[in-house]
Amino acid sequence: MILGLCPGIIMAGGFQINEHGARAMGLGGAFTAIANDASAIYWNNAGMTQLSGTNFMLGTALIAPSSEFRGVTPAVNKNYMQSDIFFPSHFFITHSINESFALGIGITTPFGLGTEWRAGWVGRYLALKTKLTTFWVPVTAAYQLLDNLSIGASFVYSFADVSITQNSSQAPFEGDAYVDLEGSDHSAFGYTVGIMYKPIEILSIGASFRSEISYDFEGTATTTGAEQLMEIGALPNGDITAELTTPMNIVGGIAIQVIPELLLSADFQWIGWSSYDTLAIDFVDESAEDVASPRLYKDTYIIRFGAQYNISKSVALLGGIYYDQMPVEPAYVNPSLPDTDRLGLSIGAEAKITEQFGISGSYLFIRGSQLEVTDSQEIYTTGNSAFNGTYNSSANLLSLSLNYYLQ
Amino acid sequence: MKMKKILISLSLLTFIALSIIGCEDYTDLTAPSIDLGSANFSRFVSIGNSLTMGEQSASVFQSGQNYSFGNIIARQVGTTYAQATFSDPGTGGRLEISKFNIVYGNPVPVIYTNPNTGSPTNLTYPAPYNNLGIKGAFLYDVLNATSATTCYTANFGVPNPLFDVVLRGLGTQLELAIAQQPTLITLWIGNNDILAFATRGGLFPPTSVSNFQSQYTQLLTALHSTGAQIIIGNLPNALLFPYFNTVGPQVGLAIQGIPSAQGLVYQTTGAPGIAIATATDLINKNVFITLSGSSAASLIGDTNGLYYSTNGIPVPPGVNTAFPFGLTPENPFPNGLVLDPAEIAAYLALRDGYNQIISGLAAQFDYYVINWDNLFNSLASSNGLVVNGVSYDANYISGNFFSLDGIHPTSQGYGIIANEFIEGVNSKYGSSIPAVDVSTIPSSLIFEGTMPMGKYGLPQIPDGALDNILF
Repeated sequence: MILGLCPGIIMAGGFQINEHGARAMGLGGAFTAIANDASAIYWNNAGMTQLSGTNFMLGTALIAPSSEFRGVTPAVNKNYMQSDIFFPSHFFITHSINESFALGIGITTPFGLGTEWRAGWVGRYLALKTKLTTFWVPVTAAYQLLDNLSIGASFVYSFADVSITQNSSQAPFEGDAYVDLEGSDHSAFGYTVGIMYKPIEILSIGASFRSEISYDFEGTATTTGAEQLMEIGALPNGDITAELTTPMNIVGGIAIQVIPELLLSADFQWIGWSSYDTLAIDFVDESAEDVASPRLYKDTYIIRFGAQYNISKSVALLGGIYYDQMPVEPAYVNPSLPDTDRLGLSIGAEAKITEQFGISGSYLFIRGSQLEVTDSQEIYTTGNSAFNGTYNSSANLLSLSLNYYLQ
Repeated sequence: MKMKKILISLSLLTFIALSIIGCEDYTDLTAPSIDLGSANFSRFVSIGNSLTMGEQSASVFQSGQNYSFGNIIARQVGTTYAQATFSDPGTGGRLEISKFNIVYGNPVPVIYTNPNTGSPTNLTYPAPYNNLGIKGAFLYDVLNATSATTCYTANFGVPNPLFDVVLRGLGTQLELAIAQQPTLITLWIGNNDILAFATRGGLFPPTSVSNFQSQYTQLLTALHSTGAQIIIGNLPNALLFPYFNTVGPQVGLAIQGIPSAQGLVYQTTGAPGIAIATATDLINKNVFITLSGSSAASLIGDTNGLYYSTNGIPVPPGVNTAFPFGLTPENPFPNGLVLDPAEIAAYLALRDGYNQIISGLAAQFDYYVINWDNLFNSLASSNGLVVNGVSYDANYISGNFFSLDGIHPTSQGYGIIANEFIEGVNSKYGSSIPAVDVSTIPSSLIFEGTMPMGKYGLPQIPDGALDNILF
């Protein structure tokens, strides 16, 4: 991609990425009732009517996650996830046609996943390298119905790529085979709608709905292993299909201008993760054995709080905190996505350099609570041995967005 | 005013930063300690043969020895356990899978003998090895052998250099065990005293029951004087192993397809000199053809004397190779590759005799005896055995328990054997040593090389590859 958009790492529960603009990230993502920059296209498209002229926003997040697995119980051996840095980026443009009507377009990465464990590690039959990249291109319109009420809607075009690699045992023969599954879907569609209401001057209420998007991945499975087994076609190879539905999001938010210098906001975000029921890989060749592993995600939520403190007319400080509930039962946690309950703490700042040009930067620290799995349904051997152990994860994120305004 | 705002902001930032640092959410974990009861593994010693040494696929090599049952036990307990290790491919003649041929839709392995040998990797270990298993050791050897030339098989013209590597001139297996002031000993010896008879189709003389009695008494009396805890393995019924059960039934099916054939015509040791095993005899395992005879079995019906010419064996007097090999009295199947009903009966009677001696002496000294019949009967049953979710049975290769020589276990097989010893220690000494999860042990049937295939979908084992097969 010309924008250098890169896949994201697990950032929130599941594989949702909630970083779409440094300002929103600085506010702990409690931005639905604020939505007063070009990233409104993502957060709450009704907010676009607050903007005049043409607004450009270009930014990226830098995400440095770390995860560790100690086990397999009763062992307490440490296994570290390979350290990697991800740069999910965003670009948004809004344009006011007139006082009450605005159009917008953007590109961002609402879902993504990138985990890699060391070759030969104990969980190699479960996960080696897993990568999911989704891009959303929302095409948006917003309309101001009343002085204090706006609505917006986006049509979302999406494309996605997935790649999964892991080992499989060649039992009873020595050695592991290496399985590489690649797939993509370049035509998936969804929509979002938003509403923003300001009953009084200092109070704003917003709501946003982002739809599920279903992907039908098509690709290939390549398994390499012992020459002797490959010769007789004993290792699975061929065309594969897989389905994945990213969850819908329903978010409600409130923002209060307590004093002219201080803006407080809160969001409640509900995520329909129950759409992610099974990870199934189907071989087009009927003779090959299909793969299905249950995920049984359940619907979950994130609670967010943000604060903006204006030091001067052109400089503001941002702070935020959120709690993100894991969408999966510990028994179904797989090292390709070491999920857990997360606490996010953010700080940030933004400055208007000129009337036209602004910059915002923020830092987010995510602490995953220690997750002890004692009843794992994930089997890490050729037998029935459960992948029990203790996960710890955290992440450091930086985000930088540049805003450019044209009258 | 502006200064104040900045101060407020800075203190807010500091607060947030401190909260972040303060939310350390990471606890130390410790592995659970193991309750050893009264078991004392501080000086853990094993006495035995290749099964103790960790042989697999006809060779003793480091990656296999890593899963010798003693080493697995030592890891479960957390005690030191030195072994006389050999770099891959080990002591020589390692069997490997060179390719699969598809026969009637099923993959049939072609076996290759690795021509290379490794070398000892732990010769400078400054004390006797904890693992005193020596491939090819007889009961006699534990008491008497100090070197290659003084071992039991040296009397038959086969000096065994492994005695030099393991013992290093320091004494006998028994002496080196005693010298370590052992606290716990695994003793699993005597298999070869009878196995050599069976693997050679009855041509190798077994140790007599009376000799076994006196030698085992002498051994156990000497070990008893050390005061060590001892877990004894008795002698499994090797006739349940794939070495005896793989070739015969397939030859039986092949012979059914030859209308003129009455059965497999083979030499016998005594009178009448020639006997016939019908297809039913072979399929029902009333008569065994050894795995060593798999190549010869591919030549059944041959009229060009190929068995003798390819192996460089002179055609014995009275044999006429113009007649179909193995189908006629004029050109019978070789005696050493067949275990007939009389030999089977002799084997079983001897094993019973030895095992009675072992259990009698163990009872006298109050030692725990592992009766291997439970394990191997389960493996040989139609359902096999499931351990940690992995299925095992006594079939060659697919059974997952036995290595490519059809006698020695795979690494996972040794895991199951280690668990039997652990269970013995736990029940005798009140310990709670956890069993090893055998599904975590890597599979160990090794790939390599290239070899041609034979008839009947038989695994193609090179002639002579298993000639010196011993526990």
